[in-house]
Amino acid sequence: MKRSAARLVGQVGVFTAFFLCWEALVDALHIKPVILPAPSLIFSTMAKHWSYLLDNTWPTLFAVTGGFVLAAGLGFVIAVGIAYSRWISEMTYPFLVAAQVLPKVALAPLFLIWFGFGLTPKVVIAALIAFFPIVINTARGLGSVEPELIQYMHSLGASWREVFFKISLPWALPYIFASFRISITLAVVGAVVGEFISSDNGLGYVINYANTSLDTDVMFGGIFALSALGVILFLIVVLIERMALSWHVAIEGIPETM
Amino acid sequence: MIIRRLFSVALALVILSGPAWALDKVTLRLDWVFGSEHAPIFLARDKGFFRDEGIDVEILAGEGSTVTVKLVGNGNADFGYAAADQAMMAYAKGLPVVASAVILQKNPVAVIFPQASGIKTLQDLYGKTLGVPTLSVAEKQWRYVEKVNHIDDSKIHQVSLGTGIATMIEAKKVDAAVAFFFNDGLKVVSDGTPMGWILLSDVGLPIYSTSLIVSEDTINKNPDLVHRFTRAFVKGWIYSLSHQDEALQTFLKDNPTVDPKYSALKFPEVLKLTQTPDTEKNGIGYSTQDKWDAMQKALLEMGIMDKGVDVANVFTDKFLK
Amino acid sequence: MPTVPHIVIENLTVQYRVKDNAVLALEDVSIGVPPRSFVSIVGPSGCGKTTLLKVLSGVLKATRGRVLIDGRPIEKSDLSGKIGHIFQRPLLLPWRTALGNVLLTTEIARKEISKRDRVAEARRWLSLTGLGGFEDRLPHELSGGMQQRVSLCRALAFRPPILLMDEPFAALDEITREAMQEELLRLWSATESTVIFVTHSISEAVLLSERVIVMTARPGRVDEIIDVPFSRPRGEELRGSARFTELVQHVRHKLRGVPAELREAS
Repeated sequence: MKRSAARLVGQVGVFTAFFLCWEALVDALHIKPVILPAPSLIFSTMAKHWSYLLDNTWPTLFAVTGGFVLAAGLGFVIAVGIAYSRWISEMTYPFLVAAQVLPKVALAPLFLIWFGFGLTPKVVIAALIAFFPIVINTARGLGSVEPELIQYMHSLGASWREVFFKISLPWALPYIFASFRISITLAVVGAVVGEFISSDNGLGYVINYANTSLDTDVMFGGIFALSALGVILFLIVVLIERMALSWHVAIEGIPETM
Repeated sequence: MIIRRLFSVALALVILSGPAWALDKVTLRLDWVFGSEHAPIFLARDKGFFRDEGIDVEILAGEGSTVTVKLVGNGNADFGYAAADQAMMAYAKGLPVVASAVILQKNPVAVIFPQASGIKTLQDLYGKTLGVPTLSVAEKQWRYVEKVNHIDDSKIHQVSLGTGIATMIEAKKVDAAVAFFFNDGLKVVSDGTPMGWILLSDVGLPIYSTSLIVSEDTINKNPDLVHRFTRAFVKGWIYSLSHQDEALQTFLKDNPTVDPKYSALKFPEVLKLTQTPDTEKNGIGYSTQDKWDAMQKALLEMGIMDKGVDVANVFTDKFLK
Repeated sequence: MPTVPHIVIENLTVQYRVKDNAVLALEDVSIGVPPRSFVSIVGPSGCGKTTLLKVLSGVLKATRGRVLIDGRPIEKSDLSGKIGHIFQRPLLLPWRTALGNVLLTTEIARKEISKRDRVAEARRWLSLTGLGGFEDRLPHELSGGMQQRVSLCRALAFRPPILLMDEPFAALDEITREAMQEELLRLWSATESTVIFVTHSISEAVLLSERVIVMTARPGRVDEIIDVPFSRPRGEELRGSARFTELVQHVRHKLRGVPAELREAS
């Protein structure tokens, strides 16, 4: 208990130190607020416009969640294919890598044409950016099961379903959750990219709108809100991981971050 | 004997080329990527107008007027080519930038649409899908125009667009869009669809557009440089008006990767925007207190600015003489 | 429990390709394994011990020769759910408790038994191996020796007619190892399974089995089949006896390749 309290204090301390340095820098270098506002100004602006920021957090949250769920579902299905079929694995791998490195922003107008306006293109872009770590890690996890154990199961007469659900899937869960931690943050990035491209709501929109109004403090307010959203979602994933994988957490200790 | 003569010739050459060493090196940050709307600027450089004024200019592409205005105000660029309304907004936010020449007298933001759509007035947009840009201040300008023309917002299906406005029109995903007519509009024309447009400045939005801007600081510290630069800059535009082909060719030579057909379509339209009764009387780049006041009033009404500024600080035409 | 079969390995040859080379893992191996016997296979690395186990569990096929289960070729025999494995590493499922791990085999191969009976059986085996209070522990909370005991219980709990053990105690320290050997004998006596036990340790082989198969390496061949005459139950005191030591010496010499005449002399 004492150790985790001390850790929390330390982590808060890092944030505080960062903001204090920022505040001091802006002050010492006389940086104009329209160029780089001080944290104190940003926080007071956020307090003033809290309901505007909150109202625009929901659409982004929906886009992130939708994108993440889609990425997880799609990623899982493809990973199963890759793990259990060498043919699928060899054929699809280069394509997946190419798809991953492709800048999604370049495809943005096409997304609008295919998926229309509103939530859908944002969810698709978020999913595309988030799904690669899930595919890779899930496939690796499924493929990492001890072969002797699998052979044992087969010799016992286990059906492939029993092997998958009793052995392979739980075995792969630590890998899957590790990829979830990465992917949830990627989904946030993806949703915001989608909002930059076409949206009249969401935190990405707030950032954009404030930018063209030269309201740099509001812009940073949106950025901070986005960060907070990302952190909260990340912590939710970690929490779920701790509950589902209590055995793994106990072995590994504090889960390593990305 | 010969050595001495050679030496004095060499010395003379050195002295004569002296001004070359003494050229002021400055940066000019444009409002967007290089396009034929910037042709007169390239011409001014290539024809030596800047050099004649003792200036060695580096032309840099921009990422929107908002960014350019910030760069100039913060001292990261010596001069900028950016929208007048953004300059005024920056001044109101404590970033003093000044327009020394208002080049595009009319705001090129327009409602653009394929000619085949039959749209003639803003009311013809009712029941249609209109793309409204998210990445620029044009959205706010559109809202103002709606208000001033009593347009019922709910009767138009409005969607927000970032990039790819031309693509969306060509794909018929939107019936019309609010955009820079000479960018997205003419792009579509260049791809084969005739377009029409309604300029926002023709339906009640009295704002100046892209201007030569410089920070107040630079004006105070080095008014002579600002004077020389503005002169050379405007000379480029004056010359281009009567030598359009040459200006266009210069630009295409400097920027071989741009689409020549699109560039050729754009250029004359852009030049038209520099001509108003004011400029015909007083020369390119000239602006009036009245029009700046009207622009500020509109910006305040649009809610883009919360407090006003003394417009006399935001522009000057003393460098145009 | 299904009937314990009579296993006969007849002229078994196994050859497989590794990259571009043909590896002859086993050559002309013939072994008889009577039902309910404990047979050990001893030999140096590369003598094909593990290959033999793989053939018996159906993972590898014979290149030549055959394996007969109760007179029928192994390919035609249904050995599903009839073979228990114990590996060198415990290979427990880290998310299941000790009890959960032991239940795995009966869950899959003895579905006809009710859940309640399966759990009772699992608990029985755990307390038999001295893990009575540790049923709800996760594997990472158990020592290596304890984990291996859970693995033993897992294999014994579904009462397979055949038990294949591949150097199960190799990773344990000597004291734990000896204790496990005695425990294994005790547990095995409560079952009727045939055990085929692979080991590097000569004394272990002699202590545990009634038949020791000595193999040579590259290619894997049966060198000698030695019958161990000691009666059961065999206890700790056997380790120190003269006859035991003599037999172990004999096997050791065999493995080292000392000719028979010279062995007589020493």
